[in-house]
Amino acid sequence: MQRYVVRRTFELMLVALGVVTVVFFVLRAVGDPARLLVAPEGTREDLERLRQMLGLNRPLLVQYLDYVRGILTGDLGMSFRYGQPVLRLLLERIPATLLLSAVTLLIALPIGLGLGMLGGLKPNSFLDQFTTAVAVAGRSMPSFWLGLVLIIIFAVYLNLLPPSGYGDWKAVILPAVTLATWLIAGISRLTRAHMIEVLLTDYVRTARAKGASELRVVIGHGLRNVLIPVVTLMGLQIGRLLGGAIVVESVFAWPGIGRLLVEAIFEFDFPVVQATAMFVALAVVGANLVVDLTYALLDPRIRLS
Amino acid sequence: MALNSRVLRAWRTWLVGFLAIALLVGGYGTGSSAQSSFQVVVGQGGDPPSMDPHKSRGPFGGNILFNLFEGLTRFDTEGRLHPALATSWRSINNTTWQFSLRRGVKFHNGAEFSAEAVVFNFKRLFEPNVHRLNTEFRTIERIDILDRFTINVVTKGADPVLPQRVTELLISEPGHTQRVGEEGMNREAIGTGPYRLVEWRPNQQVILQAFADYWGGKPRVDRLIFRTIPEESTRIAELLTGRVDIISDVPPEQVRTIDANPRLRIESRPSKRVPFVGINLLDWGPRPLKDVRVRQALNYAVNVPEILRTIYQGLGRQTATVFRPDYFGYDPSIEPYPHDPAKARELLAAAGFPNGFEVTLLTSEQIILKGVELAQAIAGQLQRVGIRVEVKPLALATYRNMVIGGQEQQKNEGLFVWNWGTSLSDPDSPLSGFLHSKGISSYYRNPELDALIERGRVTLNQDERKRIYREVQLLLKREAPVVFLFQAPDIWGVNERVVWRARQDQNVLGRDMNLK
Repeated sequence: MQRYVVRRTFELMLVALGVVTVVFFVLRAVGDPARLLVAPEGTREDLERLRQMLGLNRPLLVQYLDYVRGILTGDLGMSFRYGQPVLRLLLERIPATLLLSAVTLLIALPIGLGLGMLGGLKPNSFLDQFTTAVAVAGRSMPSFWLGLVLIIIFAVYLNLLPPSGYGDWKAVILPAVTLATWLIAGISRLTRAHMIEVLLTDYVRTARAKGASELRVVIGHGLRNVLIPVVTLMGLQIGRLLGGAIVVESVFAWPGIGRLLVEAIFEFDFPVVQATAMFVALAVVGANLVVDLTYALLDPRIRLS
Repeated sequence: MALNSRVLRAWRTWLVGFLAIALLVGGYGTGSSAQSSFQVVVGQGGDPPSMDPHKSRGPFGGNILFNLFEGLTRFDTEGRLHPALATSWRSINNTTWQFSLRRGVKFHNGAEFSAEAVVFNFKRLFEPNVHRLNTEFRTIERIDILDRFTINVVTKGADPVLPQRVTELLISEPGHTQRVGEEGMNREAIGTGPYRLVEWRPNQQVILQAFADYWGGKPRVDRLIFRTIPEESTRIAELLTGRVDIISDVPPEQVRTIDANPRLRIESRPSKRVPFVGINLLDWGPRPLKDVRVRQALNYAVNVPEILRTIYQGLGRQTATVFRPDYFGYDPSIEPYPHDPAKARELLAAAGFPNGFEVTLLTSEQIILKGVELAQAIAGQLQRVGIRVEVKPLALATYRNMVIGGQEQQKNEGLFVWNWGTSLSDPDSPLSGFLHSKGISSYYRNPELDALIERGRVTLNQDERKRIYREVQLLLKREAPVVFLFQAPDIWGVNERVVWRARQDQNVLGRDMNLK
């Protein structure tokens, strides 16, 4: 087990390095940040001098090796736009992203599982069709649109929640609901499908034959077994969430890393893009690692192998 | 029975009363956080990049920095020059401007302002190996201290614009600057302005507090908060709920909605931004555009009043050339090209293009308000005279990358929507950047214009200078190196409880505000 963890962690770092390398070279092929930072009334010498200051006139390989060396010592470079250490910029934004992701999962998981289980219990019943419709509707709504509609209803008309910002607990509700709506569809569909499957298995029939209450069957056997594929899905989705719910962050002025990344891309702020991309890659792979380890908890078969 | 119905009625009354109170409390509890009697909240579309007054400001930094810091002079809301940290100034010879500095000015940390601070900040602007916003000050050779409150600014050649330039020479307290170092200056600010920096939560808000010892008297608005709200619909929602008092960049379509609300109003004014359609006149540019008749035809074909009416709700005003009305030397007698499609067709035929030609028009949503719609409208108008236009919208970064300094890469295909706008009421900076052969955003090479620009730059005599710029405007109209458009409107949404007028330089300053 220990060797497994070590091996996976090593793979994680390899992925991070791979991502950084690809992003690094692709960025430099795309454009010249100095042209964006220089004042439009400047001269050609200004442009050259700025490129020199940012280290952009050195050979590519030198820039790359320098950067990798920096990462190993915890130095992620200085933002072209802000002139501040990238690491600090990232650390400032990560709590907001973590909070939003956590609340989103807190909302999406129970509702998604609930809808899925209800549907799976009585397939093709009215309840099933209703819950499916709700889930699909949630998936089809563009988060941009849904976010703004929620703002109009709950902030402008009802004045119950703030339209945007990051501060008290009220501010996280609308963005989390917006993000969760999309997730719920995925979770509930998966749950429903596996629920139907599980309820047809031998061990469930045995449990029922033994006289176990329906509740015990559904929760004890149904839920436990459905959780495995759901947790797998979550692993993938967490990466997405941590990667930054860019649209939601923009609509709700939520200061997370999604917006940091997008703005950095638009402004050719290479160090920030590189570091954020690496963070997102680490988050995705890391989340999947956690998922795999969670299997061991949920499924005794894996634990014992 | 009688007892029951009485109890029921009592219950009902209590329930209704409770609900009413809950709604009232709930309503007032959440929405009114901005309704403090001494605080104004401004919502803008982005975060300032830095608190360092000598670094690039971006569109959102100016608001913050000009509340915290001051220069030797300042502009009022209309762009007229006034004393600030300097009380008076005069030109004592061709290359020297003498400034008398204000006494009794304190920095936010209590230190006293004097000539040493000015020299320190000027030197900082030109520190080697650091990128500073010093293009405006390249004309300055050095600053001599005559005494604690008198300085001589020595320029390299004659510089008639110097008194305006020093509006941007923001003065930071030298001791503090040295103590916190390069990185610290990004986060902390000690200036002489009417507000001091309380807190900056990156990408959320900047909190400013009135400076009690400000030399001009403590400002009336006690607390000024700038919130970063990137999405324009969300900004409007915040304005509607009363949580934000002033928002920038209201899209023209929302003007009526906001105006109709009795608690809100629209503040609109022609801004410092002047969009135009640039024309690639370099050797490798499209052949038809090289003929001046074709370029004039473009100007006749475009209907600027129609564009202003339909896309900008009638806000903004047409310009004859790229000179703003407040520019030194602006000649109001020069009229804009009238909309005359027949004349356009005539000119095109005379130039050898009776059936028009094809051309690309580059633009970006962010290059100017409604940048893409503007390009499409222009394309439509040009189509009516036979010119087939392909509109290509680009992301701003890509676009700027292409246009600025990209002359060698030959990517700018023909026409491009561009804009310029500086706070100074002086045409030299934009002319040098966009129309002079050496400008990094310039696609025009005209030695005659170059000579005029270079002369205007160094002419101290006001009348002579005005004559030179009149010639520039006549040349621009005649040669039509660009398609002239208009002065764009700045549109703000404001809560009625705030007394405030928008400034031409687009900065939102607490000193201009009052609360009802």
